[in-house]
Amino acid sequence: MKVQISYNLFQRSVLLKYKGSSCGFHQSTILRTDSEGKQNSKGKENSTGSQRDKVSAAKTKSKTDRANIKKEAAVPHSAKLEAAQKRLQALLKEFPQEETIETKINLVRPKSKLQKKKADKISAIEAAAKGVADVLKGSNEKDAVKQELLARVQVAERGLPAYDKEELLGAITGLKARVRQEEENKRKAEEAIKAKEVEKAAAVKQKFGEKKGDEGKKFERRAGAYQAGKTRLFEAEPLGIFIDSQGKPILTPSGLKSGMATWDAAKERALQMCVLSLPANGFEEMIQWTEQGKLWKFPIDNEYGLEEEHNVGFHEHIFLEPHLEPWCPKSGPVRHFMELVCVGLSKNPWLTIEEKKRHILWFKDYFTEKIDLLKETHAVDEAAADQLTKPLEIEQ
Amino acid sequence: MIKDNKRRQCVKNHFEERIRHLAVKKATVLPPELQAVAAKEVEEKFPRDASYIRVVNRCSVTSRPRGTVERYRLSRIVWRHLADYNKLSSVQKAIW
Repeated sequence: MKVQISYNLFQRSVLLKYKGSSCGFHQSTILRTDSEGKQNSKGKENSTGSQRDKVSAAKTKSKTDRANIKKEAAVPHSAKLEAAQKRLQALLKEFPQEETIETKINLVRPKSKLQKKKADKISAIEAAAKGVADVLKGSNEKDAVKQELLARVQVAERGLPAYDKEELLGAITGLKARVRQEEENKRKAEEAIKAKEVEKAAAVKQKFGEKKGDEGKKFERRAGAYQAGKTRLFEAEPLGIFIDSQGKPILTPSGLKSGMATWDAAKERALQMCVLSLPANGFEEMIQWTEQGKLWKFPIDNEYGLEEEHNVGFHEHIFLEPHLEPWCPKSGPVRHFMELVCVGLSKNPWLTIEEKKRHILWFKDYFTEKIDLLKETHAVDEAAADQLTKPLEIEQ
Repeated sequence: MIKDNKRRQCVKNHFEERIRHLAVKKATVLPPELQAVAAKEVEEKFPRDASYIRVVNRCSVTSRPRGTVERYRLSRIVWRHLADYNKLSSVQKAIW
């Protein structure tokens, strides 16, 4: 921004002269403003120097003017005007005309600090690098050195190496190659270690395997744990968890048996629940119950469960004395008792024939137990006793 | 109810033999010595719960020991309740 300071100075000085004593305006302030403007500017030294001289001149003049003012206080108005005009003219001559001073005024604007920094750094360091490169003139390595320097500088400052495409690719492939190599090295190292261990184990085994008895076995077990090459899964003896003593697998209808009875039962039940279809409605429920025997079959028949008795005739139920014949004495208290029993059974509609037979034959066994007592009490004589105790022939 | 169930089980197991021993015990035709022996056996050999007299026909719903209608296996209160709601076949309020 170009500012015509001379004119401003002139104006102020003029104002001073006019106002001087009355306003009491201090001259030093004006001078300060002028000096500030000059400091900011990056103008020529000559101009600044000249200005300073003029300022000092203005200072002195202003002082002289003060004195003059006091003198002229008594002078009338027209004379004052003339004097002023003269002074104006003199001043105009002294000041350089149409001198424009370019000043840079720092207006407040957003500036990126990074850019500023980078700009600064690049400018400084790159220039240095270039200088160094220039020193090595004439050699073929110049460009290479320069590039290297530049690259390193850039890496240091920005953190971004300026690679060419080819360089990048080369770097990547180089990386890959490096990684592969490293992996291979690792593998080799591991293999070497393994091989060493195997050798050790073999050596130990050899050494101690020759010992007889338990010690040799011990070392066999320890040293032979790792064997290079295959792993053998099915060569060891089976533990026999799921096999019977006979070698058959322990199987429940659902699967393998565990040693826990409750667990097995619960498992079976769970599987049955999965398979069984629960009754969808009341009819199905009643069918289930009837099959289980919880529900009577309708229409109600008193002889449900006694279907075989239909085939048996009533004479077998009533005439039970044939069952007494082989063993029971023909007279005496025993006979009397047994006939009563038969009468009672013949009148019983609820027992089956088998049950009646059993009933009668039980008494035979009971009396054979108590035969001694019966003999003592003379309920049974000797012959009858023999007949009683005689075991029945199995009739088929 | 569980006690009654146990008794029924006992009856199921022992009653057949017990009743035969009882028959000998009560048979005046047989010599009294034999009767005495049989009586003793009945007491010692069999538990008391082997007798069917100790079994109680309780209500199926409430387990009430007394006042059961034997045909329906229900106590009178439950029986009446069901009868009022017409759940018992052919049961009707008596009027004559």
